[in-house]
Amino acid sequence: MTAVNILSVCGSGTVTSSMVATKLKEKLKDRGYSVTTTEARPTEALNLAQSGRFDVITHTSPLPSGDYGIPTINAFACLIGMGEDQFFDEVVAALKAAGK
Amino acid sequence: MIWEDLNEKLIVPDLEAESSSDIFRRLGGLLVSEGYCKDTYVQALIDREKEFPTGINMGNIGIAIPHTDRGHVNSGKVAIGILKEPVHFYQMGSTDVAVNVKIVFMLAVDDPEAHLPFLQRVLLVLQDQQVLERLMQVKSKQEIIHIIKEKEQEL
Repeated sequence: MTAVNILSVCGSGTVTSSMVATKLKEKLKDRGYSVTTTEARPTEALNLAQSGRFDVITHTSPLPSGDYGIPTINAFACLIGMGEDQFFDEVVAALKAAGK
Repeated sequence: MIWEDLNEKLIVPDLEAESSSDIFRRLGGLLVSEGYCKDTYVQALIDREKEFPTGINMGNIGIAIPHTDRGHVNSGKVAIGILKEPVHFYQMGSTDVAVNVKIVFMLAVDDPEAHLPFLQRVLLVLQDQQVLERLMQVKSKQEIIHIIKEKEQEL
């Protein structure tokens, strides 16, 4: 299992980011990843991204513009349950591109 | 389970509202008066919705999951409203996609970690079109509880 760190972002940093984080852990486990997540608000995202601790950012609210340095992936499909697989594929592709 | 924790006082099967703020005052007000949320909760819902809308088009059914950050919550709970007439919300993550909301699941979350299984289950309930269709037709609190209970038992 490859350990990866994902920053999950939503408006309040509590509800939808947690929902997405749970699904990421579950689905990516099947693909060989052991996922650790941190939930945050959009205002906290840039700072956290620049800390270098995370491999990928997933978000259900728009991120303020900035240089995040890592892939940022819209997680909305994960919430509505439609087009979810595509979202997980995108996350995995981003992780692989980062060498993980 | 969600259904076991549902408080009838927090379920409104025939909610009349003209705007999202009306809904927040009504349902949010119930959460405050029942002690689950602080006095600041309702205004926080209104403020948050402006910045980070919580409407979602689940297929062709409009739902909303308004919530605030944990600072306004005393203890975790959900309030449910089924609107008599659809109310306009914006879709989560957008500034211009309209959602005509009929079903509102207002979430009061104090500790997301502790509530993860609950949140997961709420999501699964809301992703089921048939459950949503049935919820839109209900006339009573008991029916709402029953529909959610049935769905949870098959999860």
